[in-house]
Amino acid sequence: MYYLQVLINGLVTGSIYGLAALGFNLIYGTTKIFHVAYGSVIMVALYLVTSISLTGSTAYWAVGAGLLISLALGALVYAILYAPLEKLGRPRPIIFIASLGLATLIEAVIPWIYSPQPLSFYLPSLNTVFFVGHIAISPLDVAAVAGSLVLSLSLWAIIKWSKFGRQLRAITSNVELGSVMGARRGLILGSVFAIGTAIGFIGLTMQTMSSSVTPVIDVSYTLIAAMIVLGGGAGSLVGSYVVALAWGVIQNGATLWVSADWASVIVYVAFLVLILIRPVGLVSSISKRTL
Amino acid sequence: MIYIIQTIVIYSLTYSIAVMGLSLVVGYSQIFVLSQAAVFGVGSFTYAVMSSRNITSDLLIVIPVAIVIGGLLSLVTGLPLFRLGGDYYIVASLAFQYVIIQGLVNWTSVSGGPPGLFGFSSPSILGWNITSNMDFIYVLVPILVLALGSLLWVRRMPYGRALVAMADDEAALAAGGVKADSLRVGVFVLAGTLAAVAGVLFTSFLNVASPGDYGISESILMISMVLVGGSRSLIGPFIGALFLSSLPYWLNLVNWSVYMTGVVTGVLLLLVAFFLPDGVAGLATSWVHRRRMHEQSRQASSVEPSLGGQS
Amino acid sequence: MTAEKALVFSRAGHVSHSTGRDGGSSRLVARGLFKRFGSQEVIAGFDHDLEPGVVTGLVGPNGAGKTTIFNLLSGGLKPDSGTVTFADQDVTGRPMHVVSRMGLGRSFQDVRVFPALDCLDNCALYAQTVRETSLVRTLLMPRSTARLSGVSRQVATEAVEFVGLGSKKDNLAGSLSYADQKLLAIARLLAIGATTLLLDEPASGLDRRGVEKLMEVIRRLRDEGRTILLIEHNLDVVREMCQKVLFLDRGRVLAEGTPDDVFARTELAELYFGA
Ligand SMILES: Nc1ncnc2c1ncn2[C@@H]1O[C@H](COP(=O)(O)OP(=O)(O)O)[C@@H](O)[C@H]1O
Ligand SMILES: [Mg+2]
Repeated sequence: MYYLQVLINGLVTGSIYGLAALGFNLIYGTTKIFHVAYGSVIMVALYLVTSISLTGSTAYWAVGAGLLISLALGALVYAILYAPLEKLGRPRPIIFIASLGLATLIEAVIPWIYSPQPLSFYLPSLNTVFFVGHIAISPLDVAAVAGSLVLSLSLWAIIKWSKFGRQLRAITSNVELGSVMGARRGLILGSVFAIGTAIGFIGLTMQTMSSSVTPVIDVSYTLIAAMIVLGGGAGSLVGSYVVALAWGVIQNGATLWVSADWASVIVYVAFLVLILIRPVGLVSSISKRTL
Repeated sequence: MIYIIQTIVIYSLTYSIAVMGLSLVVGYSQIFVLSQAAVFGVGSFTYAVMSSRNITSDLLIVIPVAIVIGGLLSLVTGLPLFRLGGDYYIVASLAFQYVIIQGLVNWTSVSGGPPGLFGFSSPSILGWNITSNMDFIYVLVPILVLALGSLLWVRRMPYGRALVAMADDEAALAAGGVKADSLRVGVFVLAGTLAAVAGVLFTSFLNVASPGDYGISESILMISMVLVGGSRSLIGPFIGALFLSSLPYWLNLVNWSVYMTGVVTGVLLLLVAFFLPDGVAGLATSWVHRRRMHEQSRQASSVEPSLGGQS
Repeated sequence: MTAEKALVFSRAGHVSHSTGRDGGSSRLVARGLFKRFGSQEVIAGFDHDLEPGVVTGLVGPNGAGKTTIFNLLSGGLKPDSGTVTFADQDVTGRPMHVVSRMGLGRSFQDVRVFPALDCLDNCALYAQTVRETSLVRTLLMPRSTARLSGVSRQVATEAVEFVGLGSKKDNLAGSLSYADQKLLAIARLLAIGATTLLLDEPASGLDRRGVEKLMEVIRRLRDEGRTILLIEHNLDVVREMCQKVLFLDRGRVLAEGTPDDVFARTELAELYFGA
């Protein structure tokens, strides 16, 4: 029973990480832009709406507003940062520098405007546990697991079957040549950033509801998302979902049986071992570059 | 006032040593390393531990020890470069950064935990106690000159020639019998070693070593020094280190928020990406380079016909 | 050219076996090479003993797989099956930097000289030994490194002069004309001390004078006894340079023989020029 509880808690944590990774994966898998400001942009949306309300039914309205804001911010970042840089013909390392700059900027501005104190949604009803047998589960746990599953599956279906998905794959399979051209391409990539940011926002919001966040959360949020995506195999939704769940389980198990201090160190080392053994990630979707 | 200037000089010289090698890594192998602060921190703690346990405070002993530790650590964190590149290494280096510093925090018996170590004896060299700011500058300058000299030497030698070639075309480099991965790991270890030395100097000056000072944001600051200054030239990191390491002091003088440092760094990185891909120093070098190209292609076009007539 | 020159190009310790003229020990042999990219079979059974001291032409329509054969022979690209032997050693899929150090030099279709290095450094880079490329040695044994570096610059100077770029040795490769870059690419291979040279379309994009200069260089290499495999579209060049020609189409050798014999076969000419 006890082990089962640890497993369930791990899957919940993993599902939230899975959302973080899903948004990052969409952006990275499509554009190959290493969007290191990913978590920072999401954090902006979060702080904007948490100043509206942190508790009661208005908090849900705030989250709704945050979703829209994160959509807008995602598109905006593409429109005013990445698209112009691509137009200037900047190579990927330089685009990374810009992303790093944006992250640094946001990391200074947010704690400057809002206090660097921890912040949390106070929603008791979401965190009230009920028991299934001896297993304690909260509505938020259910939402996290179901949310990440549903969002992953729908994204997968959209990419596989919709027209949008087809065009997106056309861009992915040939980022440089861009078989989808011009305004249409900009529109698709803009939506990719918008949707990716919004998915990430959902994950971060759940984290804020179950525990608390500080204005430095963005770094670890991006890092965990990036590690899961690369560890799972860039562009592979299945791979990153599996890695995310494993991540959550290992972290919860290690917290309990080793110590909270060493738990994340253990997971990070596990990640390093994974990508050293399989540099293409768990599920490879990119063919190896040849001469 | 003179005290502040001395402090700023000490900071910039220390950071210059810390990021000098990094500029070779970024500039020639296009690898972004976000774990430099961790090696810097390990150098710091090498001094802090040796000094606080009364082993020795003599820099002539501590620095070689830090070189060995920093070198080995960089070798371990650099070996993945044989298999990973690009974005993969960015993430791997962030993971290393986290693991090293968190490991240090958790290893309380050595590091003193989150507060770190402080209040140990000031450094010395063969019995000469280094106490005043000026003393520190006297120590820093020769070390800096030595480090810079080594890097200039490396650049002039076949190794440096291979680095320049690697930046352009790894396949053509391999066709000439040189393996890019080994070059990359080499500069990476060199960069880490210099950072560890800088860490020793930093902590021996400040008399504290706290793991929190060597986190991811410090690594970002260090790579920003390289990128803003310009990674393709050896003067670049100096410009970056001088400006960014002294920034908090300038802001303090005008009573601006500490957050301004991050704002300025972020904006500078954005400006670099949009307008100055080779950093501030790149402005000058690209001008010289263009001149040289221009001169030579003019020469070439005027010489060509007569040569053609001969053959 | 004299045997002395050939000796300098292959400095001591750099190429472990004898140089060009007898060529016996540095034979390049391909056995049953197959390579597919995705579903496309690019090389479908390539067998060949490269004849030492001879210029062999490799011709065929675009996309026939000529460059891929070079990639398989020179290392880096692993065949799906089959073996490559050079100087009696199995080099199949060995990294390119290892194979090139054994004395097998290859040029690139798109030239790929290092634009930011001058001509001499382009060649010195190819001439430099493993020892002088060691960072530890560079830092700890500066004098010996400097001495070794001087030797490779000497080798490089001779290579640059051999192809007639002596007067431009201090010019950045990026500022050279296209024709000179192509000569420089060959000079680099001489600087490795290559006894066997794989040249990928060295004459393409050159005007008549450029082609003449190039043929002169190849002729002298042949007279020195070096082994050359030459991919070339300019059939005049092939006719004049090669004693032997392989005709490749869709990854298969369709014909092999003297240039006159191969070019006389009308069905090949149709493949080559037709459609
Ligand atoms: N790395 C690669 N990946 C996929 N296909 C390749 C690769 N290299 C070559 N090809 C394909 O193999 C075929 C032969 O190419 P190549 O050897 O360059 O021909 P050639 O040099 O004779 O013109 C072409 O159809 C090309 O598209
Ligand atoms: Mg070709």
